[in-house]
Amino acid sequence: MPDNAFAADAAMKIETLAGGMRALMAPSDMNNIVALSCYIPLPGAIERPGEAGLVSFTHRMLMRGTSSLGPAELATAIASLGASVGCDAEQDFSCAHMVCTSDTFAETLRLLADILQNPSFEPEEIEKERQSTIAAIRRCDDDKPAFAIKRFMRELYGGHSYGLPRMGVKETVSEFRRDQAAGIHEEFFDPARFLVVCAGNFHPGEARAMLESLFLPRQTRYEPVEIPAPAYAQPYAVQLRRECEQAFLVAGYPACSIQSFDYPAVRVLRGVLGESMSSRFFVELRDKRGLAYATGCSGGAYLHGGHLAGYIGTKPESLAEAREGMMAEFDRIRREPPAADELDRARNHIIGKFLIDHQTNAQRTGYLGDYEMLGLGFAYDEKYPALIGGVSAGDVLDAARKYITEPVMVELVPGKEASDDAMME
Amino acid sequence: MNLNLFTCGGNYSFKLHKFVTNGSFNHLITQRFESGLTVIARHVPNRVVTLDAWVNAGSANEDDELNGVSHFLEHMLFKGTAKYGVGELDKAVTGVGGVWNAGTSKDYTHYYVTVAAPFVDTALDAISDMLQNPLIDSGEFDSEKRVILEEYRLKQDNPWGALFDELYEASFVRGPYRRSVIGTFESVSGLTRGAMVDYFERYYAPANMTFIVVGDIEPELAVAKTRAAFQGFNRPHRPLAARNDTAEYASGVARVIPRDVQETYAAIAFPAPAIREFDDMLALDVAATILGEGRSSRLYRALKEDMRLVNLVAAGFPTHRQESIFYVGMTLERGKLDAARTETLRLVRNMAGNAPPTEAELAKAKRIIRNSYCFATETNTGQSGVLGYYQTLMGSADFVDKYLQSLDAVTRDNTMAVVRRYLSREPNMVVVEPK
Repeated sequence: MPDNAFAADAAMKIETLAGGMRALMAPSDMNNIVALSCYIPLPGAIERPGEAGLVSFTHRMLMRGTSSLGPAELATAIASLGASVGCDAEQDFSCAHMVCTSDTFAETLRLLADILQNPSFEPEEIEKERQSTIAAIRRCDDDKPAFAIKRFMRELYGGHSYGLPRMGVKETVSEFRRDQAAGIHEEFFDPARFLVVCAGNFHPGEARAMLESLFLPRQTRYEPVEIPAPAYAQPYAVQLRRECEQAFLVAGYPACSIQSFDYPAVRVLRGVLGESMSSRFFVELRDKRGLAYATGCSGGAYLHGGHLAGYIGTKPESLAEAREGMMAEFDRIRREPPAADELDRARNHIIGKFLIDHQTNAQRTGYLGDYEMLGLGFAYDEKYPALIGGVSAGDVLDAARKYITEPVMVELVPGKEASDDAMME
Repeated sequence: MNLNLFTCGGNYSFKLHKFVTNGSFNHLITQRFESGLTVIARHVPNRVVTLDAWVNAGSANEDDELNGVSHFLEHMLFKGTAKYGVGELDKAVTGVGGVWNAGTSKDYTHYYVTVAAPFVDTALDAISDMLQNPLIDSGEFDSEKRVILEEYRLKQDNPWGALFDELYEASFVRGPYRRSVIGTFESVSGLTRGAMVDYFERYYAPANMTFIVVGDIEPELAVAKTRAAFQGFNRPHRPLAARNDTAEYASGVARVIPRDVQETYAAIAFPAPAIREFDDMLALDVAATILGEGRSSRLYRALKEDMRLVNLVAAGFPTHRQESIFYVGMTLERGKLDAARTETLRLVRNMAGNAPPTEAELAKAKRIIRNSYCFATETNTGQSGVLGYYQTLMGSADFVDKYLQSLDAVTRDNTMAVVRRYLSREPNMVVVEPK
């Protein structure tokens, strides 16, 4: 595979601006678009019990008006520039982002600076956001596979924040108060601690000057927060009942953190099992047996933990066969290493997707900034293809034997009443 | 054909399959080979190449019996050729890090692959062979039919999936878009391999197809490679006999689909122009943006933020070759549905009456439309999508230039006129609500 043409170039470096903000500039004249991501050291996973969704809620409140612009004025100002502006929490950090055309870069950045530094947190807007968020949670639960996956994540991570939906749950969102959101903003939104990554058609000198003049450092009560490692669940299986046409199974295992030496091998393991059309789940469960349209192997890798999981949607009468087939594939990969050509395809598919996923300026800021915030350094973006390319069949086998153990399994099956039955405790 | 189910966003996009992007396509090469195959090539120096094959056939070409065959056929093309054998096509493409997929719509079907530029020959060989020489193996046909029926079930379990198929059916008494792309459970179950092969031979003909190459390859070389890959591809285009399938709209239809859901999902649909009604289409795109695109739109501000009747609302106008629909989609609590419907109609119709679009709203809408073109064409597949869409529907890849040049000319009066012409009719409504 060729090198990553879109990745960080050798001359790129993080600079510290006056005031302390760190900035990474990746100018390019491929088009007239600029993307800027502003990373905030505010992990979604810091939420304590009873606060699920609070960080994400705080972010959405930022879009509901500033001290000088009401919510309608703010929305109109962004739309009139044709720009896209938003912010949200990830598990290990938060990020605000904007995409605009080059001619509106200064105006869009001015709005973003206002949003991040001067939110109004109007009580009426808190209530509106609460209603909107609870409705979004309902919509998420109305999607049957998402409903099953949500339960799986909660069970696997043993109640740790990594396993809770970033949007929160109805019980917690119903109780959020203005002072909680304002408190999070007060504590964590110090521009001196931000990392800004900018890619696209802009002038770095002008961007630097604007960032220094628009983002003013301020005193905060900020103290770095340590996220505890998750205490994963013991093997567990549960069957949920909803009125649905299709049964859905998700089965998975705790895996490694993104910083682990095992991560590249786990990533390739996922590829062998269920990503491309020639991966094992796709060939064995979908192509050969016609059991499913949707099947695959997914996963997550965070600072302090991760998981990998297989999923399949099938007609209810085929659920047992689908379960047996998926578990047989999990078992097979533990017994014998992937063949050379199979390994090659899995690695190349991951590298190919990675390269293709760098075409937009927003994607480039996302990769560079995410890696920096995850402690890997932005240059990991260049190293990643070689790391994946260096995974051997033995590495995949070792990873399978280490992480594929006793599963956590959630099944959704048709039933009249919303209920769940433990299959195995 | 792949699906990532490990995402669940709070904000479902109402956009149906319509390419709304910005940017002028200069440095294009367009050639029509002797066989009738159109090839379009554009150089983008970004180290990757996208190949995107468009077939001018979708569910609009089907009848009740054949409903779903376009989509089913799209699946079958990935299942091998005489040269590649079952399962070998994906191994070839994935083996060089290629990413590929396909999509079937009401008007068209397209197949696209993106690879690192050095591997373009491998990708071209695979995609050109599957378009010309698919096996459509009978055993694979039976197996894939079960996969399609699983896709159908999955769609039924998604409130939006069930709602939009029903909305098209409710909106038309007859016409090409009444039927869904995936088909009904019965129609898919009844499809035969023979009927599929006949459909393939009629529509997968060079004169009915466009092949697009966008990326890090010189356009002249791209055209030469395409010519070589489709050498000997000379099948005649033999569409099924034209049916009397002119669109006839329903009026005042209201359908309720009870489901195991907590939120209520509703869509209100009006008649809308075909793409050939160029001026109307343009003005209605502007009206849709003012009414229901984003947090600053009229429906969002009034229904969601001021009156708190709905939890999500957007307007959309998916452009088709023939007469289409304009819809307002929303989610809400069931008890607020009547009030939300009444207010929606009032807000829509007021735009042609006592609340015409302001100059600021017109300027904002035009900027949003331009920028969404611009952002969507940042990727190779975004560019090939716009080129293929307009080439297939209008026979002109640079139709997008005409679209964007004409956008500035849309006036307040144009916008009011299309609202009056199309959105004053009695709409149809479909609701998915808790049992």
